[in-house]
Amino acid sequence: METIIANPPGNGDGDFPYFRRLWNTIVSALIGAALIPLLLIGGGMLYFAASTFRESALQSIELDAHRQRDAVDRFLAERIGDLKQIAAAMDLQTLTRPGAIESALGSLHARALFFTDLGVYGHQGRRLAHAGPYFPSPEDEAGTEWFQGALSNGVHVSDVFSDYRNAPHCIIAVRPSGFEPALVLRATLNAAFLENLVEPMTPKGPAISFLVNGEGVFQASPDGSIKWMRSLDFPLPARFEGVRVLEHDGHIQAMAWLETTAWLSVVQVERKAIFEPIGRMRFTAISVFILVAILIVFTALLTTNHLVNRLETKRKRIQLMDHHLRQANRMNLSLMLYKGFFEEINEALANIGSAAEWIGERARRPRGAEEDRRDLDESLEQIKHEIHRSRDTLDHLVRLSQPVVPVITEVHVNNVLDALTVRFHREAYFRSIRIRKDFQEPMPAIRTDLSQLEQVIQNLMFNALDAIGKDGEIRLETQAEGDFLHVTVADDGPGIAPEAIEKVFDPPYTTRPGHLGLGLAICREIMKKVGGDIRVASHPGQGAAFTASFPVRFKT
Amino acid sequence: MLKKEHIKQAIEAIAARNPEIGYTLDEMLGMDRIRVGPAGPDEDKGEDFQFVFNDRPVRVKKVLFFNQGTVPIEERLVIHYGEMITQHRLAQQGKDINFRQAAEASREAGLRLLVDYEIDIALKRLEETVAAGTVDPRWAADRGGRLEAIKNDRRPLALTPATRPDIGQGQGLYAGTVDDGIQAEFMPFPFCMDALLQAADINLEFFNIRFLLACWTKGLEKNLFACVAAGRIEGLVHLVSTKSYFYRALEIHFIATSRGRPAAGDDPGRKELKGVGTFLVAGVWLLWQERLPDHKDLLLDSEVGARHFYESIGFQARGFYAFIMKTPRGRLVPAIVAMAGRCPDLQRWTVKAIIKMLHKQLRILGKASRSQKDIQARQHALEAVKAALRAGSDKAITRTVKEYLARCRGKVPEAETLLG
Repeated sequence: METIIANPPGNGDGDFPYFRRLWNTIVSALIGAALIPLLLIGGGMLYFAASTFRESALQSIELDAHRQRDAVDRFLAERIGDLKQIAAAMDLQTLTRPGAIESALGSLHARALFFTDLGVYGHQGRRLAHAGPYFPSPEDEAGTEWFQGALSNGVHVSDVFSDYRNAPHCIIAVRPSGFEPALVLRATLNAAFLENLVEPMTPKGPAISFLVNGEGVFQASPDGSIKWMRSLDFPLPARFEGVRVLEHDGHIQAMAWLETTAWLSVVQVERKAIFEPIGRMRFTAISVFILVAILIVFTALLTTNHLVNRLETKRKRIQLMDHHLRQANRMNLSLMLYKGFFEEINEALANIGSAAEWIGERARRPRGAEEDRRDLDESLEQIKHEIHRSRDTLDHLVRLSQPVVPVITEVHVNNVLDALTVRFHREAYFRSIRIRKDFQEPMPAIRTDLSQLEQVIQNLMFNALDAIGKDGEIRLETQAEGDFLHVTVADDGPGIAPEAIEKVFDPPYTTRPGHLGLGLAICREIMKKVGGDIRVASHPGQGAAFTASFPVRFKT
Repeated sequence: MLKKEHIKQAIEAIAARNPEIGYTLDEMLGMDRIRVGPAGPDEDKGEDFQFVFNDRPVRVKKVLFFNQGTVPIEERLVIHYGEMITQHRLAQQGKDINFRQAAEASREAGLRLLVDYEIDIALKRLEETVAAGTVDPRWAADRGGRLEAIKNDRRPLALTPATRPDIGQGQGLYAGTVDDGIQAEFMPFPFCMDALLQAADINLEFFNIRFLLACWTKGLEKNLFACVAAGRIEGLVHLVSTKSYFYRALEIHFIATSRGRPAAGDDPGRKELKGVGTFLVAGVWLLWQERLPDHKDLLLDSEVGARHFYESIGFQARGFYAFIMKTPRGRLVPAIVAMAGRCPDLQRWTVKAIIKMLHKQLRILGKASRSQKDIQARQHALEAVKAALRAGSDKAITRTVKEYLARCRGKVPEAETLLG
C-alpha cells in the first residue's frame, strides 16, 4: 500500500477573485498614498533633526576644545607673568639676598600654591638663589633645555615630568628684561592645576579632555582615564590655527594647539555616546511609523472592504436593474407583438357575448324543436371555440411574461426566425410591409441562449417596422461564416444619418417620440453576453441593415 | 460563512471549464436567483454553510470548504444547474408530469452532470501530468479510457474487473451486517458511474467526487473502501500507509458515513443505517490483520466530536486528535467476529487475534453487571459470542468459545442456551 494523497485535490486553477483586483488596487493606492508621504515627511524630519543634533553636538565639543585651550593658555600666561613681576619688582642684589627668594615664593603662595619652588640662575646657568621644600636642582643648569630655552626665547615651559616623588610637574623659566648680564627665574609648576583646567563642559560620561605635547605624550588628564606621560595611539596633526574636529576609532576629537607652548589641547567623546539621542530619536520615529502604518493598513482594509461591499451592492442592483430592463423590454415587445392578438381576444369575447345573447333569446322561447337544440349546440360550440382560442393566446402571453431561464441550448436559427415572422405577420399585414426571407440552407445549429436571441431579433424587427412605417419591405437574412452565424434584419426605410450611426447603440438614443431608446443598447449588451456582436450599415434614403453575429459554439 | 465572492469564484471556475454552465450561473447570480442565504440556525454550531439556488437552500460541507476552497460550492452549483435544466426541459416537454419521477430524473441528471464535469477535470489533469512527464503515457491513457467509459456507464454499482481492475471479478472483501441485520459488504470503491453518482448524492465529508477521481488518476484508488448495503454506498474510508524508518502503520486517513448528515442527499425516503462506521472500522481491522501484517499499528486522526465513538471501540487517544487501536472492544468486536465468520480463509494470526479478543468477551460474560456500562459491554460480548458460534465461523474460533462456555457453565448464565 502506498501513500495516497499528499495534497487533497483542490481548485488551484481557473479561479478569478471577485473584485479582488480592484480591492488590491484600492488597498495599494490607499496604503501608498498614506505611507509614502508619511515616510518622506517623517524621514525628512528625522534626518533634519538628526543633522541638527549632530551639528549642535559637534559645535559643543568644538567650543569645549576652544575653551580648554584658552584656559590653559591663560593659566600659563598668568604664571609666566607671576615670574616676570617678581623680576620686575627686584634687582639682582635683592633677589640673591638671603631670604628674598623665599619671600618672593611666599608671596606667590599667598595667592595659590601653583609653584612648588623658585630659583634664580645667572647667565652661565649657575644657581644664585633658590627657595622650595625639596632639594634644589644642580647648581649649574647651563646645559638644560629650560635654561637654553629661556635664554633664547625669553620664556620656556617644559613638558610635564615626574620627579622622585612621582608627582607631575613642569618647569616655567623666564628671562626677565633689564638684567645685564641676563638672569633666569625658574619655577616648578604643580601640574595638578593643569588637570583642573582640562575638565570638559560636556557631560562627564561620554567626554574626556587632555593635553599632549608635540610628541604626543599626555601632559594632563582630569579623570585618570588616560595615564599621563603615555603616548597617543594616533598621529598628531601638524600645527594649525583654531579648532579642528576629527573622527578616529569610534571617537570624535576636537583639538587646538596652545599658544604659550607646543601642547595640543584635546576634547574626546565617544561617537556612540554623543549620538545616542539620535539613535533613540530614530527608534521612536520608527516605532511611531510602524504604529501609524498598522493603523493606516487597518483603516485602508476597512475602507476598501466597505467600498468594495458598496460597489458590490451597487453592481448587484445594476445587474438586477439590467435584468429587469431586459425583462421589461421583452414584455414591451411581447405586448406590441400581441396587440393584434388582444384584438383577437376582444373579437372572441364579442362573439361569445353574441352567442350568449342568442342562447338567452332561444331560452326565453317555448321549448321543443330539434332545430332549436341544434342552434343551441352550435352556439355553445362557438363559445367553446372562442374560449379555447383566447386561452391559447393568453397562455402564450403568460409564458412570455414569465422570467426566462438563461440556458444555452441548441438553436436552429432559421426555425426561430420562421416562428418570429408568424408573430409579426399581422402587424406587417396591416402596415402593408412585406417580410422577405433569405435563409441559407442548410444552416448549422448554434449553441446560444434562445430567449436572448429572440429578444434581439424582435427588437431589430420592431425597429425595422417603425423605420418603414407603412409600405415597405423587411429582409431577413441568415448566413453562416466560419465560427459565426449572421442574422441580418434590413429595411428599406429612410436609413440612419451618418452622424447618428455611431450613437444608435448608446442609450438612450431614439429618433421617435415616445420611445426610450434602449432597444439597441439592450441588443448590444445581450450580444456581448452571448459572445457575439452587432453592427449596422446604412445609407440615408436606402434603409438600414442590422447584423447580429452569433458564435456557433457558445463562448464568452 | 459563505460570501458572494466565494460563489462568484466557483462560477468563474466552472465558466473556465464549461462556459455554457458558467453563463447560466453567472446570469442567475446577477438576477439574484443564486445568492448567499441567511445563515442557517446550525451554521455557527459547526454544521454546514448554505446558499440559495432558485429559492432552494443548498448546503456546502464546512470541512470540504475549509480543505478545498470553493470546490464544494462548484459541485453543488453544477448539480443544481443540471437539475434545473432537466426540470426546464421536462416542463417544456408536456403538461402531464409525474412530479416524483421528474424529481428523480432531475436529481440524477444533476448528479450525472457533476460526475461528467469532474471526469473532464480529471482527464485534463491526467493530460497535464502526461505533459509534465510525471506518469507513463500508456498508463495514463488506460486510466483516461476507463474514465471516458464511466461517462457512458449505465450499470448498477458492482465490483467487476472494469470497476476495480486490481481486484477482479467478485464481491467485496468482507461481508457483514449493519443496522441489525441488513447485509452489507466492505469492498474496494468500485469506479463506476453508479458509485460516483451515489457518492455525489450522499455528499460525504472529505469524499467529494474530485477527491475520489484524484485517487483514481493518481493510481491510489486501492486505498479507498466502501460500505455497500443493498447496492447503496453507506460509508467510505480512505487509508494511508505511514512509514518512519523501520516503523510502518496503517492510518485511517478519512472515514465518513451517510448517517446523521442532513446534507447527505435530498432524498427524504432514504433510511439512515446504523453501525456503518463500526462496520467500516471492522473491515479495516480485518484488512490490516489479513493483508498488512507488516504494519505495526492501526492509527486514526479524528475530530474531537467523534472521540467518544473511537474510544468506545478500542482506540486509545494519543494527543488531541491522534488515536491508536489497541484491542478492539465494544460493538467493534461482534462486527469483526461476524465479518470474520463469513471469511472462508482466515490467516492463522487473524484467528489467534480474534480468539484473544473473544477470551476477553467471555470473561465479561462471566462477570456480574453492576452498571449501565457493564450491561452494554455484556450485550456486545454476547453478540460477539453468538457470532462466533454461528455456522460458517472458523472452526478454531467456534471450538475455543464452546470449550470456554462448557468450562464455565456456572459462571455464564447464557452458556446452556448458547451451547444448546
